[in-house]
Amino acid sequence: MKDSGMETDRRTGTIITANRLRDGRVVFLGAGGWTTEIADATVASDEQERRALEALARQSVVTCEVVAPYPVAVVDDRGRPVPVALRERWRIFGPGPGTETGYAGGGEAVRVPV
Amino acid sequence: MYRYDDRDAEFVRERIARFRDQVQRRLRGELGEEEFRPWRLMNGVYLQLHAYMLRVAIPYGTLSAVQLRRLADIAERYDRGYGHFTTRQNIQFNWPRLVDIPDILEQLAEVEMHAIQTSGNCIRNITCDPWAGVAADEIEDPRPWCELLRQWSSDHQEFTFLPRKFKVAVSGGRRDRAAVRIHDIGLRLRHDDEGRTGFEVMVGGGLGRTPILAKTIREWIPGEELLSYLTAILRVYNRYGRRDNKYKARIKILVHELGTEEFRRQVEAEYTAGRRPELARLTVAEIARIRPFFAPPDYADRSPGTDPCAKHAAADDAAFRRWLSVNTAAHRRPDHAIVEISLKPPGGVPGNMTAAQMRLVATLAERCSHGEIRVTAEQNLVLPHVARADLHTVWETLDTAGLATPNLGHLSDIVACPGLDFCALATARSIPVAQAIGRRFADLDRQYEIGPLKLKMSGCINACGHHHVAHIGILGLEKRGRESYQITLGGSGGDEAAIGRVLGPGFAAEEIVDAVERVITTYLTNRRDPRETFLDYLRRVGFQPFKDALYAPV
Amino acid sequence: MPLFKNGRFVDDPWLFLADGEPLPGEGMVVVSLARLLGSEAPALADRDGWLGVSLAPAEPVEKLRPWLPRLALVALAFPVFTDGRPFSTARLLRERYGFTGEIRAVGQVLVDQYPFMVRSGFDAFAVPRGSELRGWQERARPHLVYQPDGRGEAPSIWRLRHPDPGPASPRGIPRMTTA
Repeated sequence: MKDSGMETDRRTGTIITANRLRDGRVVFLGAGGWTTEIADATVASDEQERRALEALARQSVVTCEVVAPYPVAVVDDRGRPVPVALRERWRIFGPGPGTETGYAGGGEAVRVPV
Repeated sequence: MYRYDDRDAEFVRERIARFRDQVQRRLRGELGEEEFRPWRLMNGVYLQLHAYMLRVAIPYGTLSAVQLRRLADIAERYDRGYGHFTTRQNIQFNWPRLVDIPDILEQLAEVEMHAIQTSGNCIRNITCDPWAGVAADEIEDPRPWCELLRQWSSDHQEFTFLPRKFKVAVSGGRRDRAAVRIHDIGLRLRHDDEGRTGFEVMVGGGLGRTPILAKTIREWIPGEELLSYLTAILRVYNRYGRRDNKYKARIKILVHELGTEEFRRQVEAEYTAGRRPELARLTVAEIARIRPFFAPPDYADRSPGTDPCAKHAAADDAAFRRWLSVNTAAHRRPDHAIVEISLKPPGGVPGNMTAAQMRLVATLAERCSHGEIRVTAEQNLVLPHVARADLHTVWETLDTAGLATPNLGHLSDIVACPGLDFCALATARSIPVAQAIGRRFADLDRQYEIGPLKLKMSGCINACGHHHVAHIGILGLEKRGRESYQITLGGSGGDEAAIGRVLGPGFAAEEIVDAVERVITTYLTNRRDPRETFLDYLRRVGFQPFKDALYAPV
Repeated sequence: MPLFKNGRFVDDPWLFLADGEPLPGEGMVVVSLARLLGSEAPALADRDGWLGVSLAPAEPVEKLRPWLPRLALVALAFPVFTDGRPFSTARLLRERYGFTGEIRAVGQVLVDQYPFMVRSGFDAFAVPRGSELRGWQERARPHLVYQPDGRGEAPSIWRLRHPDPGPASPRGIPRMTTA
């Protein structure tokens, strides 16, 4: 794991993640709604923006689009938000290569070494 | 094997219909997540790190070839072509969609399988000795009792909203192969002086953040009284188990806080007041109905003839001989053997199996094991009824599919939970660490030199990987944003169950394999002779040599 | 609060009294366990009109024993539906103490729990406001179960498989033998 989370000089912010209710996939709240691509997630840079995102997320819970939304602290990595916490990085970039016997690829999971 | 009658089948179908209705209400918003969650869990569905996960029960670890083939079909149709066998005789699928799960459950029901109560604060899948019915040291086959308990605990009117999950294991051998002392209730089948069937009852075992071994609260309860006695235990727990703190809600905490004597007194009082003759009558009748299903298969059609094992062993077929001595065990019939299928190839994911491997084993079981397969708590499979005459064929077939690694009970036969690659609760990865250790110690001669060794690892304090009862346990934690792996030594399961102790501060992911190697080297260098096992050595000398090797100032 | 009983919604004749509220001279009232066992006990015992008590999950049903002949209703509270203690309480009331009055589930009562509650001995359900009442009429029904010791209409698979030979059975319960 690289230490992106340990540095403090880069711009930090918050994104909202959840699981899609129907299939459980990890999604992020972006400008066009929920997306599986973290690169398309909207980054809230202050408290007010975060609250606005959270309100939208709560609405999506009511409409049964997603389940269990929560905020994740991110840092900017060349224009792409990357979570600070270890668990959140694995949630987004895992499972690691070679941990799925028999899995030949082609699924939705993003495979990025972390 | 047990076969459903029309009523068993109807029970499962009705239960699926209820869950399908609950899923639809959830999708329509009539049920919120809070109200849905217990039903989701009690039908085996978790919301994991990346997706939903479905945990399917393999009651008492017995699978038919037809069932295994169905698991392969489900893995391919609804998942990514593989399944993961757990430490409690379940199989997990990592990627099903919630909307598909009622259909998956129906396809399981067609082959008499289900996911009932594989999660949730209820009585979970009943586990037992994977060698039940075939072990040479068996007192009596525990599976009829497990089936009785499966039925009794399904949709129990009183014990479906317990303070916390509740795990029961039953052992029928003279040796315990069901790890009864790490269960909420452990039952050891015993005959009394008159030859009647009964059970020693142990309560309050469990791992997690407070590892405790179960205590015997009754030396013997007659079989017909078992359900009344279990009702008493569960009622005391349901009424007085803690519900204010999830981490103190298991029955082990209640037993600990009350003291074993007081807990026993309360259970006995409840048992005396609540004994149900009708339950005893039905237990006797139901056990009599179930027992014939577990009659031994017809072994007679195998003519022993000359034993090709002897022939191949005599020939210089070293690989076969190694497998024979490490991965097979004594069957109660001398002309048969119990074959263990290792799901721990070097660098593999412990407990994982592809759909193709499942189909191969299903076909092999039909040809050479009377259509029967077992699942072990060590994340391996078993072919329980292999004629010795077929052993060479079985070995060759398994070997073509990478299922004949002769490492049972040795260092690379690693137990590991899914860890942070999949699990929402995990604090560190387990699978890559297990893979790296498996690769480092892939040399079989080195493993045999080390001798019997159990290495188990968990990716968080909940201890699904049973690291507390491993000779070498590894616990993955998070320390300041990085994975940190703690080593525990001296744990053991089965008859000489013991909880391991933490050796010292944790190691980083890139250090842990070297640390394990230094532990092994310390043992190999200092043991009295090759017959002194790792555990014997540790018990003789204690922790100091290991501490010196791992933490001595450079 | 809608009251579901015997498969349909019915009017509720009971008045649930808060602890500070004065005791009315007549009518069917439900009081807390503390009030039942407190200084008002003699007044409650002598009072005309039916009496009920409501029990929180942690309150021991054993304390009700002397009162049971006087009680027509026991309300068991589910502050959260995942608190399973009232299931044990209901079974003790029915099976051990022979209570034949109404056992009512109050609080967070879900229709999905109805079959478990009925078999434990509940026979009345205070359906929380906001619940879908039509859902109760459609879904509150017994289903096939294994356990032989439940109440209500749920058929027990074990009883169907092994009908009770009745008291004519000469030898009582056969003892367990080995396989």
